[in-house]
Amino acid sequence: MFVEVEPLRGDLDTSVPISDDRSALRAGRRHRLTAVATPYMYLAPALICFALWVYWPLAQTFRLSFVRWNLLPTTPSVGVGLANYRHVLRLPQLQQAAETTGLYMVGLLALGVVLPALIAVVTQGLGSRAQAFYRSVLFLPVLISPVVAATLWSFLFAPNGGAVNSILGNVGVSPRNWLFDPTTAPLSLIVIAGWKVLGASILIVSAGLVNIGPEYYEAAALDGAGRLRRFTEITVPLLSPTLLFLLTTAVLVAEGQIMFPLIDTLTSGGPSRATTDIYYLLYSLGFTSFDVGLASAAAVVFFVAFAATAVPCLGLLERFSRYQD
Amino acid sequence: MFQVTPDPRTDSANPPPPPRRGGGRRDTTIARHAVLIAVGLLVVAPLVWLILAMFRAPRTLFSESLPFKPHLANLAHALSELPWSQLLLHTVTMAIGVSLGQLLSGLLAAYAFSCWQFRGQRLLMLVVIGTWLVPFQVTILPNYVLLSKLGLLNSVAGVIVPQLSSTFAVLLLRQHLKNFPSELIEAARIDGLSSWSILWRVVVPNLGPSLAALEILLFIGAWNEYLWPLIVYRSPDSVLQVGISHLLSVTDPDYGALLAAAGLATLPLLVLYLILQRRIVDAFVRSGLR
Amino acid sequence: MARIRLHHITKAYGDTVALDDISLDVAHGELLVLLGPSGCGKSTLLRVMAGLIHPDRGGVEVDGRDVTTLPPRQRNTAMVFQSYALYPHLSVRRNLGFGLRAHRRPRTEIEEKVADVAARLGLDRLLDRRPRELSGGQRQRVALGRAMVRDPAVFLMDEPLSNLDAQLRTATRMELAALHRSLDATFVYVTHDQVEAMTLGTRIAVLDGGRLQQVGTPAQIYDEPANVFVARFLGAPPMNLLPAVASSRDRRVLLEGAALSAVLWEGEVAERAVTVGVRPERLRIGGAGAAGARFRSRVVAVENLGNDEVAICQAAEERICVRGPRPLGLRAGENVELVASVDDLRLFDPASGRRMVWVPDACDNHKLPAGTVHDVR
Repeated sequence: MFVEVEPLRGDLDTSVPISDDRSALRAGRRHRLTAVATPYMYLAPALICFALWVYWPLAQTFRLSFVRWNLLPTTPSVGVGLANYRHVLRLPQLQQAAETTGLYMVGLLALGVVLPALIAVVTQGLGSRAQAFYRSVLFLPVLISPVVAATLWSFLFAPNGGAVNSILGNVGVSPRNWLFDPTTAPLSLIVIAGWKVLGASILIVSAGLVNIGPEYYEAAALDGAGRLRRFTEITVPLLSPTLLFLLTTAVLVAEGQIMFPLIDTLTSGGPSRATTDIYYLLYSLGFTSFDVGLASAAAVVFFVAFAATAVPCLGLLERFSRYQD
Repeated sequence: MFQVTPDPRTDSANPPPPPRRGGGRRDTTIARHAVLIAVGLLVVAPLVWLILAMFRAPRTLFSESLPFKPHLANLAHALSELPWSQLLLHTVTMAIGVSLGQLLSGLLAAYAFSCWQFRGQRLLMLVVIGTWLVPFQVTILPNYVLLSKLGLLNSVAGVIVPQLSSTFAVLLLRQHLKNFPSELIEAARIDGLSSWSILWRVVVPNLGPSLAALEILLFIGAWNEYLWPLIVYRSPDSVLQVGISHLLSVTDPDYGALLAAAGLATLPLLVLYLILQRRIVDAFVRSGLR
Repeated sequence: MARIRLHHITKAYGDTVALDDISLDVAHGELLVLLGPSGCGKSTLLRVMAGLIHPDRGGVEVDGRDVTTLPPRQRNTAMVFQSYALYPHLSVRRNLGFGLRAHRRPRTEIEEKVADVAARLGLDRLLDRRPRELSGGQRQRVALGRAMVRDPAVFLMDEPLSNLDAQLRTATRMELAALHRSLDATFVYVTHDQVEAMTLGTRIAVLDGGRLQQVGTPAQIYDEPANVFVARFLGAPPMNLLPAVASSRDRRVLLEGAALSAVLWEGEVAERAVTVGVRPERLRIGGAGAAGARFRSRVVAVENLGNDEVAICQAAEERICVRGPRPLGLRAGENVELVASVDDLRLFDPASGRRMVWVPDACDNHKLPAGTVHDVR
């Protein structure tokens, strides 16, 4: 009859149980404990900082949105329930600020994502030396702080003899006071912000294009795909994580970090609040109205709307970056 | 009789013809250059204008001719209107403190995220990324109150402390560390190093160039920072960005001095950029690839 | 002295089980090869021994001491990595001395040991170079030297030769064998290369899917594979495996398959399916009157290996390979009858995949007297 052989034949004895060396075990356990705590210790500095300067203040903002207080330590704060929220939603400035925010976003998307993507795609494939030269030029506005950019452009936009007016004068456009006219001021700010992000965005999209690698195009060309097909079936999908990254930064970062200093230094939200977006509205409510409750309620409303826009962006970005690994 | 075997290097089949260059490529190359030159001019022209204006005479500030005889009056004005030594000291302190703090806290956090597996890892990563969901303007008031309670208002320390960690730095360094060869870390563990020594004796020396490039990007960011100084330290002698915004905010600004001041405030970064251009641009571009 | 014992080591990452209840006993001075396809868990097992990975369950014991939870630095083991993992920012000299410095040994001792090992490995002239200035073979030596400097009781090697080109690999393999003989240490060596495993190992442990498939000397692993996986993993080409039915007629056990027939030994067996295995080099091209198992097949292709030839044949639904000195004298398209002697057949249970041996019915199979087991060899 047939008998199955023992699979581990030839092995030495493993039947004796593992010995019981207590001291080694104890040392080991101590090691395991510190090993478990180690990553948290490395995380501590960053997380404490975020907790202290982002999440704790966020919780405070929520708390303050239900009180009336004037920021002075001597006066007590009084709970007022939802009154602040009712007040915020009826604020006349709110709608105008929201519209301005939308306008800025459209402008930043156009000048910070769409236009750079087009330029990068069109100019793709230059030699590395030429590329290095253009890169070093296009990067320059990243070095320029928003305040310096504001200074520089207020000079260019100056109503009397500014470069913009004199250049446009050559083609027959009458001079304007760009930053102090309610119709042109928001657009002027968009131009300045666009100047600051355009080159950087081109660099990022170009790098994304280089990253795609020629073998995909070669494979597609061998498969008989034409230029348009190669663009829609290879360039666009493989570039989408980069574009999404740009889009997210345009939505999340650019308006708060670049537009805000421009508004603050150039127009202070004027003329007649034409350049006030939600960010600036929150800031001025907090520091000029001395109504902490109202400002906090507005901040909460804005935070909720902002997070609702940003979470899907970040989620998509995370999913895409996983595709790439 | 001996016969020499045929040379194996000469193949009887004909070699394939060399590939031909496609026609019409030259035109598209020229078009590409044209587009980039146009964009480049658009980007550079305002900066050139700034530099030219800095050296014009105050009376001819708005003229369009080249300033053949450089005038230094604007620079002199700028130097007299702002407390430069104070501003520079504060700005340098802030930029170094903030950027080094962000680099260090980011390095430690990224090390934890990429070299360990631990409970709550995903959640804590979300906590880091989640900071992007909280715009600065939402938390201004509580931050102001907290800083005043800590007695940090109107001080450089007050500007530095809240900025000591950066989500951007954590994410970028996490990416770098994920690409770091894990066998190198294992080798160091076998060799008997603690995780702390591994970080400083193996990881950091090999990440050197990336760390330096990130440090420079963070330095540029901190140098140009406007929001935090705006709420913490609003006086004209705080940091360069605030000082310039003070000059700008008067109703009829002295553009000559203002432009000169703006140029001077950017000069250190430009010098840095001239020296380390390639590194800086590479680091910046890579941060967008993720 | 270093005897390593693993007890029921289990490690899972999420839903994937990397190591499944592995017990193993490595004697002092052995060179145990962990062999298996990529992803079989062999590198994970090595890292458990090193202390780089903690098992979910089970224990590691070195010389009777439980080291399961000890960090690597307290284990007196050294490791050679597949990528060599030389510190790129340090010179060869500092790479070699790195472990000793980490253990805070006196400088004179470090210098002495580094010089000694460098001399042994012929690295004297390279001591001040950086790893990137070295060739692949030189880097491999430095990695080896880094392990030797510390005089460890256990050397762990993770595919140390896989990044070398073929010629250098053979030479280095021999040097490793010599090194193992000269050092009084235990080696555990991970590879997916069966030639390395056969030539280097005092014993081989074959892994697949996180499970131990078989442990034994190279001869045992090759000649007496415990199951179909091991039979198929070793050999070039691997063992031929064909389905057949075993039955008995006139008190003789017979095998019948679509293209094979064999008369085995005396005995009675209920009709059952078996898998028949035979090594390609054990097949002969049949002539008249050859006894044993016969395989009717048709030559599909003949591969020239230089010294040998391999003929790939179609036997009913199955592929069957025969290997022998060149020329075999076969041409594609030819019909051929292949013959193997009964001793060269291996039989496996088709359901479990495990190899079966024949036990004469007369015996009480609980107490087998020595010499009565008719192993199918």
